[in-house]
Amino acid sequence: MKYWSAFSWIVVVALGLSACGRDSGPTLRRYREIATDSSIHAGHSHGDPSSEMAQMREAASGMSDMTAPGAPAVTTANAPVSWTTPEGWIEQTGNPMRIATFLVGEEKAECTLTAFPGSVGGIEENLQRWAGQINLKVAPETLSKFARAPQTFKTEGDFPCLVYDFSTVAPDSDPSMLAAILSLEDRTLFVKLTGSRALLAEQKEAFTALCRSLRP
Amino acid sequence: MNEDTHKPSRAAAIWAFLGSAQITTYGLAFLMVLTFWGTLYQVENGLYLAKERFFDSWFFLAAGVVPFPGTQLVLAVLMLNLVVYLIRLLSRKKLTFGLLVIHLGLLLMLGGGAITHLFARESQLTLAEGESGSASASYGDWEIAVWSRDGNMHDVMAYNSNALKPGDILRFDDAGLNIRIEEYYRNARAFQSTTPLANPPLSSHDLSSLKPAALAKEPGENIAGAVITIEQLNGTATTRAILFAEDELPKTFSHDGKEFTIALRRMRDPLPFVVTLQDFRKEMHPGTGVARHFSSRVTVSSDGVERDMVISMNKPLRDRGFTLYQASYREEPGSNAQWSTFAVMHNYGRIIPYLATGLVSFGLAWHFVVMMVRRARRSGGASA
Repeated sequence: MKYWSAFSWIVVVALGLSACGRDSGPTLRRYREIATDSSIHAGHSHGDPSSEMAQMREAASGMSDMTAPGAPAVTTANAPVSWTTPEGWIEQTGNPMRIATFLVGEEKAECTLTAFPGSVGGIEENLQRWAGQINLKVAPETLSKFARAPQTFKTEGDFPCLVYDFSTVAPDSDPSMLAAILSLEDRTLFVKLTGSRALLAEQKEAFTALCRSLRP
Repeated sequence: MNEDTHKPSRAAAIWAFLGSAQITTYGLAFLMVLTFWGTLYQVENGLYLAKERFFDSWFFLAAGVVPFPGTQLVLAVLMLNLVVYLIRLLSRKKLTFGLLVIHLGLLLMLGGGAITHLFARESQLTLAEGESGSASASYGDWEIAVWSRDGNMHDVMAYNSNALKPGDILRFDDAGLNIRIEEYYRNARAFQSTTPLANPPLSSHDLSSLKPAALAKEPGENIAGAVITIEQLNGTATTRAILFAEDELPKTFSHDGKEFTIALRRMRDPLPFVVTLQDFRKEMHPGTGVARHFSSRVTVSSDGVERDMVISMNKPLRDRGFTLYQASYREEPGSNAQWSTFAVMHNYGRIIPYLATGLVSFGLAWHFVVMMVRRARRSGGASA
């Protein structure tokens, strides 16, 4: 029992130390820093403390597309691609691997634009993985057939684009996915929109428009 | 032990228990469990959340129900255990010098860990070629800053905003402003209104509201946002505004002939020197987008003295407790513009682990030699 008494004493001391360590409220700091004239409102600030911040501002500025359909294209500094955000889509912050995220429709479905170096596996491997993400089991021969029948076109930037609509291989699957693969010289771009079947049917045109608008 | 004839008092028993090897053993066992558990947790939840739950906590709830000691509590108990043991060691008539040095070294190691945990700061500094910087930006902490311009410098007043809550008032007396927090989110999403508002809040991108978002796995992915009311002390004017994602408010506030700008931004850590990026160079592995080597030629200025240096992957710049490592870079597509990013570590306790390890090694060596000599003497005496 005496060990337990000692242990409770230790706990009280520890909690006391913990309480002492808590912030007593925000305190004012004063310092001087070099004024970076690269305007914070500019698209690509030379005064960026981090590339993430550039992306954050891009995200915020991209949101103006919501009220200004067809507004100027958005370019992220980390990603040498530009695009035009479809009307009604809300662009969110990217990160080094995810160039951009868009919230689509009332259900705020996520459409992601990502870039990976190299070819990142084969098309079938990616399609198999994505099928798993929407709990879809596709027989290998069906998948192989699906992989060979994408919608194909060249984007504004002359990128070859393959678009896969999972509703064609599994019409009853809900949720479903629209995915595009763009093989560039040094990396592969992926555009993926996951959401309800109804939303995807409604937004397919906008998704294709986003893919078509991709350019350097 | 002679408990029947000489039973220690309750206080003495507790004192003995506090310095006992049982606590050390249990403490080390808990540390092992926490390290293993935290490592597994990190796989699914990321480094930041694992650090916050297992290593920066006093307690956490296992499975949401069972309280479990966090690493801070275990280390605090181990430190107390060590201190009590040392005091008991010092009160012995026959002091063992080697053991004392070993335990002092261990205490120093724990103390160094505490200093690093409490005071070390990690941040980053990104510069374009030809650009100078004198403050790095935190990865995960944010501040509400108000500044005025003085030549090519900003005089900044700032509050760390991580713990802000609705109703908090931040006083910026020099700017003649109070900022009242209406909403604050460590990770926010911003929205515009689809219909014109009668009294839209002041914001850089015509934002109308903020909504909280779940904290991201990595602190750098969180974007803080605040809805604030700015109260100007020289009148009764109040302005409602939204601060989001490093954007300055598109309006300055005047006080005593100075213009003040307001922003919510990543917390800045002022450096005791100015770094100017002269040139950034990189070499890539042939045929890949993977960098083989990259380095930055910088000029470091302080107190009127300028030094030219090269910071590369394994050659950081160290100066007055700050260490700048070459971390990454970025390029502007279609132009020659390049930016270099330095990870900035500010750690007062950087040297302590080296000193502690030296002390422990010395203590072990001393104790080993003493024991060897003692043993040799004993065996010598026995054979004689």
